[in-house]
Amino acid sequence: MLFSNLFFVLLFLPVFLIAYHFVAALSGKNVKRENTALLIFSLFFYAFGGLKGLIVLLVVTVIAYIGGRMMIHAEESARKVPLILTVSLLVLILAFFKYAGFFISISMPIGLSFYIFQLLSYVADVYTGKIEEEISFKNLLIYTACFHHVLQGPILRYNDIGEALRKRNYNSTTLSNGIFRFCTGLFKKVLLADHAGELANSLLPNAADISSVPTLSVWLGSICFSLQMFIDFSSYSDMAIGLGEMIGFKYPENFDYPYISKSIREFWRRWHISLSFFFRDYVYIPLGGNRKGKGRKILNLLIVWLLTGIWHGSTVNFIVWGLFYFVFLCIEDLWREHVKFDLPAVIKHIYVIFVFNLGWLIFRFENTSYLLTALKTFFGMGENGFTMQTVTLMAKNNVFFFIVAILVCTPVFKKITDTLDQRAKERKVKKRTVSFVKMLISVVALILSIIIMAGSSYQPFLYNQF
Amino acid sequence: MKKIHYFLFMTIIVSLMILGLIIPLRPDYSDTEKRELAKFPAFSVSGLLDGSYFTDIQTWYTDTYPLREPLIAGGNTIKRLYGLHDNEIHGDVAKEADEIPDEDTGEAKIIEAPIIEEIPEEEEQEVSDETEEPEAGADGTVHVEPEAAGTVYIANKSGYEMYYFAKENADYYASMINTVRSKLPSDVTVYDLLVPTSFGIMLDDEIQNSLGGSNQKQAMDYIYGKLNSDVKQVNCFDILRRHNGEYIYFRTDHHWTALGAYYAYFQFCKEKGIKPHDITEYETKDYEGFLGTFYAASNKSKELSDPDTLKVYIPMGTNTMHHISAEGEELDWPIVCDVNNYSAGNKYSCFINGDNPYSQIHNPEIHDGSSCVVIKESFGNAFVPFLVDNYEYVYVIDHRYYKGSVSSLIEEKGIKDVIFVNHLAFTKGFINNMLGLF
Repeated sequence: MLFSNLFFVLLFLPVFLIAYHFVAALSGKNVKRENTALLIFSLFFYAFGGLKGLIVLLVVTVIAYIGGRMMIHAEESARKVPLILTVSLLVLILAFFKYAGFFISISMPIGLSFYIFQLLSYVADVYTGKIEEEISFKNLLIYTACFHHVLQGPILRYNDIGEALRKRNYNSTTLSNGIFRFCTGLFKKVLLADHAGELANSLLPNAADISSVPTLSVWLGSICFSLQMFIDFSSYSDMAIGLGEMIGFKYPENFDYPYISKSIREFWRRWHISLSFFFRDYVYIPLGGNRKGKGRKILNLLIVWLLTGIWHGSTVNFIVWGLFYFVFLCIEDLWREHVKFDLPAVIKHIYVIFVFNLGWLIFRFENTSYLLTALKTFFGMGENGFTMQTVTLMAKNNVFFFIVAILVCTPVFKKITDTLDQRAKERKVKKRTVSFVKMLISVVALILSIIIMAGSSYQPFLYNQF
Repeated sequence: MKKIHYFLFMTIIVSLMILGLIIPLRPDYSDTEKRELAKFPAFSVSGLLDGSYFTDIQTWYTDTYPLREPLIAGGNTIKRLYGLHDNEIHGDVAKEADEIPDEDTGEAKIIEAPIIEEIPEEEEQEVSDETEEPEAGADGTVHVEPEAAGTVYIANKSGYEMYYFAKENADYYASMINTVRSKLPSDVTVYDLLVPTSFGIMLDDEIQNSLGGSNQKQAMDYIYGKLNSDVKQVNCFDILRRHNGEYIYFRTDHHWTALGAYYAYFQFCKEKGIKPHDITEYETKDYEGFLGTFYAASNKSKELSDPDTLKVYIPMGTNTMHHISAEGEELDWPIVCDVNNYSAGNKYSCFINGDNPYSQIHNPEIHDGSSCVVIKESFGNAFVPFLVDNYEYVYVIDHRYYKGSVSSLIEEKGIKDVIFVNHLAFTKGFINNMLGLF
């Protein structure tokens, strides 16, 4: 079940919130009862992807639970075996679902890559002693299956929510903040990301038609796709964070405006932060990071980026995409070591935008011949000239969209709300006024999103009976 | 204020949830989209296991949400804010169009066996028995087969569908016509009338070119050049182009108007060597409020919200035809019928009651035994009424639905003229349909 679906916003969510608050009120905010309510709704939510998927989710949670239990009571030296066993089992299950599709007809349970990684981090944290006390199966299952983040992250660490599972507080402030975060996230997803996706499909078709578009079409199309990737993904995190905040969870931020980075290194510290940090903490550093010499560092980086590529998809282009970033990170390392002067910020921005934009192009096409055609056209060696009127017309039809979508990739709006909050704190503006403005924004964003979601079922009868 | 925020949020989603749960308010048919909306799925264990049961529930929930039409309209108003909309483009920016060869004008080969291509499921579905029969709704609405549209270009409040030449199809089409010609007795005349679209007729060549479309005149010349010399060619490109200052194509729909079809009829008469009736001889009627396929395909673009008017010319000899629907039901219906009560999207059905597998018209005022058969898709609908006053019998076959043999029909009824009225963007499936009739 997607968040950006009428069924979620106008059925699941209200029922959940009413039920949750009802349980809370009846039990006098007993956190265990609240957890139970959250768990039941989460399992129901996940079951919407099919009961088969739910079974897989339960099985992997049981595996991690048993692994964790075996380790937590064991001496440190005796933890290695259960660790290796549990991790291998979880990785094998993930790999099976990722690649079995090539041979047999089986589909990967939705969100599997995300929650397996959560469980891996749980097992590793128990191993290293970051998690000290025993975790109940119920709490571990909430950690895995909570509907806020089960489908698309953020990839949490158990300690991100462990405290909140024992005791959490929500009040009108967290509720109001959560609603604001959710509604603006929904707006970004429904009005901007989905539209960017539609434009990308027209301008940069992921089909044989790619051979008949001109260069400008590939340029604009790749920009649209870049916009879609960021806005879609980050808006999902916004909604997850907002939903959590509504009931007292505080999830870590997953995106920090990656497109304004000045280096690729910085980009990956701002993009899908929970995944980058996962690889940093559970792969790169355990492998020795940069502490074992230059050669080893490069090897470690290579492993991390191969895994990053593989995590994103099972086809070759994702591996190429991972290695693509590995190359740029190596170049940046060399640059930092050997070149002493600093480039102007503008050049750095242009460089980063160019690299991630090209990266998304590789990411988009699973079909190699489409990818090559797109790249050829991107670099002006296509067969359809620079532009066509259809392309300029499409750009013109969407000029305001581009402006807003690009602004959303920058911290402009966040700066505005932060300034307002700051001024309210300093009592330069009335707190009520700020709250009122936020409420207005939430309500407008929500209503506009609902209207667009309701219209999303519209199917103009393309193709084609004359 | 923060409590009000929460309260307001809950009020909105809860009241809209309640609205969504009032099942009788949910629509079940969409006129503009010409489709049944999603039904609540039937329960199945496999659907439960793979999740399709739940996916279908979600589809149903959104697809049939109450107030759907106003919400869609509202959504389009919001989406207009995305940019400047004096001209618009909907659909793909570019498609593969073949070069139209200049010189390759050898006669197309006779077909021994049809080229069978797998038809994509979508297309197949649309030809399915369920939807093909025009079915009268309670409000007099006739739901017809969905038609059009690929990439729609909108300028000056008119829609134009992009045309892309496909050489393989063009060759196959010409072969099909030549094959039919070779199969029929020599006293039967075959006419081929290719119908260009408004994209080729109304738009400047330069604009067509800059949009990446193919030139329809060249395409038609190419196809006609491949026809056997015994096939009579009714090339109506030039006459339509000459009259493109008139209302010969709809602005909101991909079809030509009755006036456009009249000019094709005029050209046909010239080719056949008979005198066409003058346009002023006909009694006319206007039906307002037509919002056709372009309007729907462009997500109800505001630029196209100004409806078309159908000006129709009523045949003089008779305005009654007899037709058989896909289910084999026989009924009499006006050739040009009153569509005032039809919904905005269905008014093109005013001509010969839309697309039916088989229709026949007898003009009691003509007694020369003359007869013709028209093999057509929907563009032929507006054309047929003009033939009524030149033949004692007119038979109309929609090749997409007719399952019988036209060869035997020709023999049985003693038909002397076979008239193909085909839209220029024919597909292989259509050509095979027509080939299968002979």
